[in-house]
Amino acid sequence: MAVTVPGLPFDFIQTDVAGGTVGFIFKSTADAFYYNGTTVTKITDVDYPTTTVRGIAYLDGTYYVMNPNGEIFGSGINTPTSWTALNKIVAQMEPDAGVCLARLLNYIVAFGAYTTEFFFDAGNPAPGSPLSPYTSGMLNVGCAAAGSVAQTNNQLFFIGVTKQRGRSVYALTGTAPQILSTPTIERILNGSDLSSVFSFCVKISGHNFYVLTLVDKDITLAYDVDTGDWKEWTSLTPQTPQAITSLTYDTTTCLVTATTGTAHSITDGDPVIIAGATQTQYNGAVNVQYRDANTFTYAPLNTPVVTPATGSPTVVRYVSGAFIGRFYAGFGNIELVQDSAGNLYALDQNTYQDAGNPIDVHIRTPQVDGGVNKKKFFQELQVIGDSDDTLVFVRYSGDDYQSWSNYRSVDLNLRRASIHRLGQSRRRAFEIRHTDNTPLRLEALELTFEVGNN
Amino acid sequence: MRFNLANLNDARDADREQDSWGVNCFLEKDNELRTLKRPGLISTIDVVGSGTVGQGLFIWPDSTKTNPQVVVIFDDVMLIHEFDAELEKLIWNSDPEVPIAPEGFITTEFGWDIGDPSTPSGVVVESPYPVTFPLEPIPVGPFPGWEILAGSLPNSVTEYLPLTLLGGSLAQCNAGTQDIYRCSDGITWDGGITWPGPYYESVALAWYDGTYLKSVSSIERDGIFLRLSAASQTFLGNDFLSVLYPENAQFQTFVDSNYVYWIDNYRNPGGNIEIMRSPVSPPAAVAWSQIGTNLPESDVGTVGRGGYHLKTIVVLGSTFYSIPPGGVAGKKVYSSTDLITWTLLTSDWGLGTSTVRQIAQQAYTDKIVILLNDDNVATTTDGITWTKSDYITVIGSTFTPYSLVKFGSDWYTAGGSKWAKLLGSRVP
Repeated sequence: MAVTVPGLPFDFIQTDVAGGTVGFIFKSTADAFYYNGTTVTKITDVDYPTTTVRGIAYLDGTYYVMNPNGEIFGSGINTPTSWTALNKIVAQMEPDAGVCLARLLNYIVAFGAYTTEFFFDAGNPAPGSPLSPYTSGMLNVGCAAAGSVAQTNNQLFFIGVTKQRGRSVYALTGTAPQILSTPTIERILNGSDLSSVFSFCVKISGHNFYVLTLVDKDITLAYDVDTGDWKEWTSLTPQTPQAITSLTYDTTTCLVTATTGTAHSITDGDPVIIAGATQTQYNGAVNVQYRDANTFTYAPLNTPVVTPATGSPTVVRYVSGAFIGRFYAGFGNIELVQDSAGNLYALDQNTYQDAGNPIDVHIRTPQVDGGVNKKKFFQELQVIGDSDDTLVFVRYSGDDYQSWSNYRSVDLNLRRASIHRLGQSRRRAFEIRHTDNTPLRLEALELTFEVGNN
Repeated sequence: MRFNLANLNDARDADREQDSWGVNCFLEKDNELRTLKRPGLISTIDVVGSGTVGQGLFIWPDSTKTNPQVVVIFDDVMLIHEFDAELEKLIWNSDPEVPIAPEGFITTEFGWDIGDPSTPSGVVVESPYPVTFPLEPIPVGPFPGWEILAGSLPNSVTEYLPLTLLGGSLAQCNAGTQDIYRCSDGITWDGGITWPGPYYESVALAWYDGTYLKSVSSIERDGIFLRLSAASQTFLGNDFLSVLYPENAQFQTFVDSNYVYWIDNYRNPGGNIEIMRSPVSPPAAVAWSQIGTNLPESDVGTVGRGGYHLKTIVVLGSTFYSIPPGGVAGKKVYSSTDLITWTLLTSDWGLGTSTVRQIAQQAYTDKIVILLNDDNVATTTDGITWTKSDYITVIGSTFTPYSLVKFGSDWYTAGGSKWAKLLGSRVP
């Protein structure tokens, strides 16, 4: 069989142009292939390890892979299909297993289960490995998941693990590790079984991101290398259209009430697509207000003349999950990601949807009390940001995030993008939501309130 | 009171339901008080319905080629796509054949099924996942269109000796020996197969119907219809044409499932534009008969030689479309189902001053494709709405195109010893 284990992720490395081996190697942990621009050749040399860990590295004409025992194998000089049994060195400062192999600067980096060792090209004579260990660079930090290793510029990122404490995200700049994760992020890391982890680094909009997906937790965490900030990235997946049994327009509230025969599973503020109404004013991409399990309302994009609507209206809701990009490749201005099914997408800073599906932006604030715990009477909330023909939705909580108001829309195209009559409480947290296919750049919330006497 | 929205994510527990949290946003680099929406995704090559497991992605800056190659692995199939590096960004439709945005696109090229057990390295696959996604508008440009191919053609391509198709190959004919030369890979030509004779004046490899290579030629006023296989020919007979100037109408031929048609596309002094037809299969002899006597004039072409009133007729489905010469000579497009009654579809097909250089005589696709004088191609599916490309001029005055054929998924034109290729994905 061409691949001995189907469905495994592959790592790639370009072969040496100067050395005359135009092409690239692609390998999984079970198989390796070399493409020379014309044909694909499976690497079947008996000295190529049967099983390797993730990663392949190139240094001074030699390609390196590592097996789970921490043995690092080298190819012949610029001959990626030829391997010799003696071209081997072992990462054995500690007896831990090999997890992943990478290259950083002029070092081959061997990630172990709880240590990391560095090797450099010492020019050792053939047939042995040209590598020697950089003994003073050994780290007592291992790699918790091979899929978490990603590289940008001169940094390696990975989920690190030590004997002493739980998991953290590290950046290796040279041989010096730096912890990037916050306690919040580490809680998430420690709650994952790390059975399926994907990561990549991408530079876009002038920022370098380390994007880490934990499949079992269905979460993607994006670390902004330039600002040191972690954010969550999600993707929305459209669901099967659900029939709407009635669509009525209320001329007093200017809202459409939609009723479904079965529970719609839509939550307040969700983006949906209404379609199929004969009167097209009812149709479109809207955000809904939750009423009950079978009813929601929304502001139509155009005013219906006929009510109730006729036709066969349906609603498509979305389910939120981890960001769909699993693998990444970049070159020049190309920024591509591949999802779990193999589909390709271009990352584009001037695109405000994910392949036609909304991007669900949430910004939840800390609790605000103005420095005093007395009851406040909130009169107005202004959203300060770039004007655009779009709506953001705002809701608030006065009980430590336990319960929330319904979302209220704020038109960013207005001179004062604000809402009024916000009730009372001692502390308030706000959440902004935006799903329109438009840019969004927000700066602050401006709150007008009066402080009570107790 | 004003408070900042640019807060660090700080949930108190793994549920992330409390305390500050940001989703799908990031802090602006130059002003960390501002929060921006994260970049979005544009669908590119879509393998929905075929792919189930994505396994990796790589961009190979192949030093031997102008463009970098996008390598994708899914379902143990490695596909190599070409990215057009002349363009600043790449944006695609879900259909790899169709670019949707101005800056560029990639196309599916080939790959290996490395999960196929036939060989240790898998088997070669080409276009393994044809997709049928809705087509989007052609991009605004200009962007690269034709690419002049390396090397020379084995024979000079002229008005009378165009490129055509022969089975799975491009084909052309030698003017002297009438031997047929073929190209099966879009790159190299074979050494030619011997024409068995007899010889005819100006044999043109006019079209290939999937079984036979056919040609219409003229000797004096004879209209000779040849039906050929790749290695032999069958002389089907000849018949006189009654119209004047028949030799000048030699290439205004087209075919449907029943007849071969021959158009006199000049309006003779005091006469009409005329069309002849002969049964195409299986005639014992060519039997030209005239259909109608007054084909629609495209506009203002002058009477007699030198002024087309009708460039040609193309059949698409069961409808005939009259193609005007374009430019000042005529922009009217007519349609007919019987070649007798014609309906004016549009008085101006919207292609400006562009004139028609070549027309793909066979309905290779679901649209009519014509090559204009400025390198561009225009297409239509109804004769009314025409879409014109906006290519960067490449052919220019390098050669005069005398053919327009679709071979595989791409288009070819040629003139003299030079030829050029147009990726099918770039045809509007």
